[in-house]
Amino acid sequence: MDNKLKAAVDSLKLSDAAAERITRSLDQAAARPRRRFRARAVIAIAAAAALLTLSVSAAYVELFRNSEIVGGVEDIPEPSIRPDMTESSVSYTRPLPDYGAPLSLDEGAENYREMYALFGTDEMLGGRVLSEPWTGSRVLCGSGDVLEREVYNASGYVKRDLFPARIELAADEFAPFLDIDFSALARLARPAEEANLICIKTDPDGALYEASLTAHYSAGEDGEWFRLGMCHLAQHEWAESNYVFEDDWDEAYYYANASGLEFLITALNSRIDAWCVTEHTSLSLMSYFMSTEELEAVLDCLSLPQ
Amino acid sequence: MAEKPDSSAARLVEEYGSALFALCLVMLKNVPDAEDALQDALLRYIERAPAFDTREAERAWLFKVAANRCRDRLREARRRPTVTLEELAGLGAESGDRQLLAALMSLPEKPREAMLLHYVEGYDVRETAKLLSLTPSCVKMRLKKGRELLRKEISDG
Repeated sequence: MDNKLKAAVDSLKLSDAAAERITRSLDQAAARPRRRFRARAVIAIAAAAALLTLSVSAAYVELFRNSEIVGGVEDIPEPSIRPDMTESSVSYTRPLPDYGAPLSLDEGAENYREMYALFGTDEMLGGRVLSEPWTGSRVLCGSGDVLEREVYNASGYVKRDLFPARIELAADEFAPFLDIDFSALARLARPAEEANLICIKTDPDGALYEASLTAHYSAGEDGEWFRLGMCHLAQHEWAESNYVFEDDWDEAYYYANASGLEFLITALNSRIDAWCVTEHTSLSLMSYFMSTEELEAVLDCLSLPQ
Repeated sequence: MAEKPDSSAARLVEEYGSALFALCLVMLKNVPDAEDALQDALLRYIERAPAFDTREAERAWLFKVAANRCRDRLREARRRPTVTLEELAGLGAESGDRQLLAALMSLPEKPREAMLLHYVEGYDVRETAKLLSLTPSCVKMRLKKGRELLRKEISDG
């Protein structure tokens, strides 16, 4: 059957007329000016936690936001000096050997579900702020669709954690930082249970310090899933110059979504990531078993408030 | 050092046009959609393709992109008319192949895609898994399901 199948499909030929038309269209497209990688105003992305980050050298930072795609270390441009910034390092990120090995939604959401399960205790308070650990918590709402608590540290920072069954239930909390077209997203993916978290941190004066969001979604019948992340830094900028090397990935390219946000997309093995960093807000999608087109459709549901 | 090969439209269409078109047609079951998906894939090559060490790597990249384009179009194209046996004849399919092609095209999208890359294009399970961003075990499951459904379709038809 295999040989017959191959013979049958191989017998299908592109017609001469179609070949001619496609060649003509491609020639016209190729004649248009191509996009070049460029340095842009302001600041680079922070390295993703799952990637190996290597410091190249101590230097003043180049000014751009998203990580830049380059051919290799030799293509990283000479850093330029920005007078208002202190000395910083330029970095590049490369995938570890097991990067993109299959990971299920349950595995990806495990830490968040553990935090959810320990809600009401001080067992998992969600990291640190300015190197100081969180020390205690108080439950504000311990039942219903949105669990809520306040978390404290010794310096007077307060973190409000919300655990919504679906992040749209707490949309007001992150509306100043991120718009999500939930009706479009619902056509592409289903929210995962007990795997969503919104954190709003305020400083000792009560001013917004940082806001973040994490949500997990199932995106198909064959284990496809993604994690949506947002982090808004209210009191400082995303400040790092970072590069990725084109040949490290199955695909690495920029994608401008429906609202004009530009994402760097990197695909390797089972995993595809998308990052977009602006002056104060970082958006990320980590996905497994999805195609780039499926991921791009999800990215089209995201925009930043005007 | 990998070099970027000749990306002229004429070479791409000549070298890969029919093979990619066949993949797109079996996936999309509609000639205009298949031609558009082929053009999208080749355009993406011209605009975004990295340098390839080998022609095999270039070919695999094109098949991956074309398969992705097909999936994208399938989401939009579910209500469009599908190719007829007469159209298949016009595209070069022999009479004996047309029923087999029709049976193949009747399979669900995911096993159909895996069967095309594995049995028609000759990629092994690991390579097919990489092209489709799946695990090898998932590809094996899709191939098994595809074989069973194809046998049933042929015996019923």
